[in-house]
Amino acid sequence: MKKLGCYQNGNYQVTLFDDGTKIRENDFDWFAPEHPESMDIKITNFCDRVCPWCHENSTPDGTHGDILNSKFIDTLHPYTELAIGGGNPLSHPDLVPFLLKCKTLKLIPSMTVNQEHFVKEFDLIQKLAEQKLIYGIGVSLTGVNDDLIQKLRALPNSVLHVIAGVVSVDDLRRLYDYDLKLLILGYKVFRRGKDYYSDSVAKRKKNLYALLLELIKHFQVVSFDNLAVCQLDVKRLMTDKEWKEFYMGNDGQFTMYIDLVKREFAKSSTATERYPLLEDIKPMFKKVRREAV
Amino acid sequence: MRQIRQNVFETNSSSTHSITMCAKSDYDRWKKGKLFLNDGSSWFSYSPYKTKTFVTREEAIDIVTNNRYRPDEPLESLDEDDFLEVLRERNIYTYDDYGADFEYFEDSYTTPSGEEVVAFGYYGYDG
Repeated sequence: MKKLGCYQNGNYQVTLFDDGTKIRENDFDWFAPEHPESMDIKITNFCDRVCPWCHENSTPDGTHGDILNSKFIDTLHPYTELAIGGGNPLSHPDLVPFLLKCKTLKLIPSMTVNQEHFVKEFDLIQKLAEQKLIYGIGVSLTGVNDDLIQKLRALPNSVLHVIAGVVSVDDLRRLYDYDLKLLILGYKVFRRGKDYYSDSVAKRKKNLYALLLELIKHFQVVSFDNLAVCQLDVKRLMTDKEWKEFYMGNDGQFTMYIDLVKREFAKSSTATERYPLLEDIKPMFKKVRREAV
Repeated sequence: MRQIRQNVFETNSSSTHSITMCAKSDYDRWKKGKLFLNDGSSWFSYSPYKTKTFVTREEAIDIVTNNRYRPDEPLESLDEDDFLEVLRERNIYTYDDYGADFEYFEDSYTTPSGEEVVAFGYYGYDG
């Protein structure tokens, strides 16, 4: 494990390693960040998959954001993590120049793509990872198969994304014991996700709740977003000490969301309170942090 | 204060969290004093054993000494109590030491494949 960087953020120090491990430390009993440690950036609303549960409402008619001329990018602190998403971020014509700019600014971009796009564009993704233009690769699961597993294993920083209520227990068991990393996302009853919600979704969510204790033994890492933490009551599986050490904070506390298509920012991608994009990151973060605390 | 995100980059807007549980066989060996619990606090160690939840005495020594912050004194020169104290300072525990001042709990579960899994820990007192 190599250190990527270390920086001061408000009253604490952040150390980031090349396998994604992040450590926050200080001599106080609270953290007061001045700028976000990470942010979700939506760069396009174009996607040809039209997944029925997509809470971003991305479509083949979706437009791309202007990602090369957004001034706030230049105000981000080095080693800020960017979770780039869409739509299909691979479809953005300026993706590579944008990633090169991120590299110059010493930012740490990661990207999430749909499984179909991951498999189809695997060579490109692998090259981007080799060139350190992207670090983490999130892959949204659509169906388990050997090809997917092999490709995930070929990229050490890949993380398989599944949605509670969409993924089945059978599919998860087929992924067992391949040393994969798994991120479980909560079900967002938002936009198309609202229409897709049904008794079947609720049942699959309930089955996943019951499976958790078994599941975590069969992956290298199992992570949860904040919505999944609530929906699956993840705290029941941890000691108070573990919870205090591993719970990385509420949405907006250290993180934020930026939509470069609509040029808005918010606490998270599902927040309904959204604000026009500014040119400096600090006042934007200050605003979302006030909502989070 | 310290918080750790293990082994994964941010690929999603929301914060992420990690859990590690253990097999009952390891848990039993720890209870019998044959293993130490490495409570996830060896981030400055270069040891190949640092990510293991349960470690042997030799592996625990390697985690502590093969480290950016080594103990001031060689571990061989310490008596058993001082040796265990050094390990405790680095959150490596015997069964007896773990959560000694707190309310301890454990829970077990058998997976469909027959493997027994143990979840354990302790709660701090409110006052």
